Amino acid sequence: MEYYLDNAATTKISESALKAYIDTATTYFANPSTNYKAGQNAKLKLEETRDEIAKILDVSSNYIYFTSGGSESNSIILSSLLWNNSPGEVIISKIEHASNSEFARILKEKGWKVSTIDAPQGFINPNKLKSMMNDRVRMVCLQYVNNVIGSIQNIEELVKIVRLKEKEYNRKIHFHTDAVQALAKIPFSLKELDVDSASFSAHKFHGPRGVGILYTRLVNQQPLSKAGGQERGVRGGTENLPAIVAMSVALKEQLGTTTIKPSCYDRIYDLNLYLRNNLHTHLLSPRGNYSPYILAFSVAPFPSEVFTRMLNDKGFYVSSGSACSNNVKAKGESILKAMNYSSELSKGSIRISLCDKTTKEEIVAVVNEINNLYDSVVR
Amino acid sequence: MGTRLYLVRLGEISLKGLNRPFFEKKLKNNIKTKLRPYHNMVSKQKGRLFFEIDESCSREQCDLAFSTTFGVVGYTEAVRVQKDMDKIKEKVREVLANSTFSNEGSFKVETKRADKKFPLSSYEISCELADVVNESFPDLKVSLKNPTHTLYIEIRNSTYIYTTMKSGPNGLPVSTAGKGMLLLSGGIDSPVAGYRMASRGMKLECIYFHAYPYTSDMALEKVKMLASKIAPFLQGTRLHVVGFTEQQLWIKSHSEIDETTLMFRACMMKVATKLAHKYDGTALVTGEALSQVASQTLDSMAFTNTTTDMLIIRPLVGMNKEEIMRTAENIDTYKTSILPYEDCCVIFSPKHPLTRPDVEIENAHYEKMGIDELLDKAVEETVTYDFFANGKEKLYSEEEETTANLEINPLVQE
Repeated sequence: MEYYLDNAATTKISESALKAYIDTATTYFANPSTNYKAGQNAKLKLEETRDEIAKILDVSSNYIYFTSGGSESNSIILSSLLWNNSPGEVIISKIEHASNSEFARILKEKGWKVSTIDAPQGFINPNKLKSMMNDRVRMVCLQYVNNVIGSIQNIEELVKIVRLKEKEYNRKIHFHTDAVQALAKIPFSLKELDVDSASFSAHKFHGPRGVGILYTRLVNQQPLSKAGGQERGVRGGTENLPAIVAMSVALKEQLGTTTIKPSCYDRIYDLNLYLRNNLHTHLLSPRGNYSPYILAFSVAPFPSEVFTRMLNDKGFYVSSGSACSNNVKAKGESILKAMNYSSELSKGSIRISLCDKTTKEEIVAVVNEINNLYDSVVR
Repeated sequence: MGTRLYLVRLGEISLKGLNRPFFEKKLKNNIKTKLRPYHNMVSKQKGRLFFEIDESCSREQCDLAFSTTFGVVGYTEAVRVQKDMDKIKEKVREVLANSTFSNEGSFKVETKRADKKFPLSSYEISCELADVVNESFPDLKVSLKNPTHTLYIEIRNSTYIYTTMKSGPNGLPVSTAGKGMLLLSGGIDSPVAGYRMASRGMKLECIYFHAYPYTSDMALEKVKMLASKIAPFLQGTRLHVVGFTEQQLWIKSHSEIDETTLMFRACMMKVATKLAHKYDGTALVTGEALSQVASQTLDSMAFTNTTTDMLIIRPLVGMNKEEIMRTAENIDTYKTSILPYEDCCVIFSPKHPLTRPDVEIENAHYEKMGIDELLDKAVEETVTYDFFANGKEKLYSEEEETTANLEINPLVQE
């Protein structure tokens, strides 16, 4: 028996998304940039899909761009800063995905001031952001749902701070959020968040790999690759239409057509609660404002790498936040340290992540296995 | 079917006295093993071996055979011609045309006249052939001290002509100096220790202690890769993998936390000793370097020595890390060694290991653990992997491997 509980890493593509992929690849194989009928049909299908997705997200389709995924979406936004005439300051959280935090290093090299804002226990303090704002800040980049422990930032409040400062300095400040772990996982309204841009990735909600969404209200968005000017110049390169259509199908499947709240949200919430109430291990995920799809805990002082290996052998696939290595520190571990968790807790961190297909039986089984192992080898 | 001729320079072996044929024969056979399955003929003359190898054997395989066999000081592809000045000149023109000689820089002709009956002296031969070089490359100046290009002439039973000399690994042929058991850890040092002892002619088998799930299977794969990398230098080797989980847990629960590393060492030595007896080894080889880590202090090593009656050889004991790393890079084990798969789990590593153990106290503590039965079990359950001299692992699931499908692993060329 195999139990896949690493859905924050990636999800299995849904059957209907896969079917949509194959159907689209077969029916709409022509390049949407061509002028003949088949190409124009593909173009129509592309725009139709864009409209569908825009409708689900309840935003204008003018703000929706298709990319290769969350990392590219993030990179497009951050790289656009490099086109500014003179470098300014960017505020970025310490718990960002590597596609943001690594890009910040490039900005630094190019003369930008990169100010990092910490997130104790996974949460950014709005007052702290307020105190860091100044008239040199051009962009604020804060993740929506953290991929390591599932904490949800109060983006609306954080954006409000930035909007107030915009008025005070009388200049635009770009607010970008990486919402890869939020879409089709937690209820939210993109409109109400009032961010300038947000990134999404299809394979986190049972869509295919290599496709994602960049939502941006910026008019003169600079691309990473110009190529043939596709996606209104924001993302050059022939559109990955089969994947885009499959993504739309997967999204609809998770959300339905009218609401931004996943249809299985309440059930997942209960499963998460069951985990929280029954695991003998040390809970790392926050007790409030968390995504029910992610649960992090620590088996410290036992190394998580060994613990997950033991779980793997029993058929449970979960993520180890830390590598048992002196040479390479796992991402999760450094993110946890940035959240002020002790080194020991971080080294023992393990993440379980759920999806709509996760059953109560699976959760009961993994809880039993973790508790058995924890009680026998750690305690 | 044509052949290619290789000339091999021998170093230390040529200085041997009455047992020189023994060393030469080993060297010849060691090279031949790596040239399989291609036909080759070997002849020897003082200080040289000549290999005539079927030309269907790739140059890569020939290079690997010579560059990884201890006892080879240098080697080159050469052409042979009769001992006749006109014929030599004609051949030299041919060789130059296919060589790296160009009009850039300087050159030298180096003649070795082993056959003293040849009418011209070395100097005269060099002069005449320098003229031939000048015909083809009129702009090339002579430089005896620091030439860009060198034309080598050796007058022996025939004349041998070549323009490059690649260096071999020196040392003495493997299997001329008994057998040792190498404790291979997955780190940077132990493959180098094996390389060093093999360079003195020692035959080696490797031992690795695997504590799954506390160490990952990737760590085992890494050690297998290392065994495969050093196998050509070792003329093939065996890797004995000792399952050590139960034993490590026993040690952890039956000894003082600060002593666990020492107790592991003691247990590993005892298992290695048993394996050495089983496989006719007469020494244990480790990658220890003095004071590199807590378990490699003088006192710790002294304690380790008391845990076995076997000779422990530590070829790296006086080497600095940089020197060891340089060798690891030369033999292409470094990249593998630094892969991030630990060979010992942190839960077995004390924060403050004992660095100045008292031999008597530690031996008493060892006895108190009562682990001997578990160690016997570890020896019994050892799993062995074989690696051919070309680095390839022998797969037992397949039918008896034919020599024809022995592929050569790409190895670093000096």
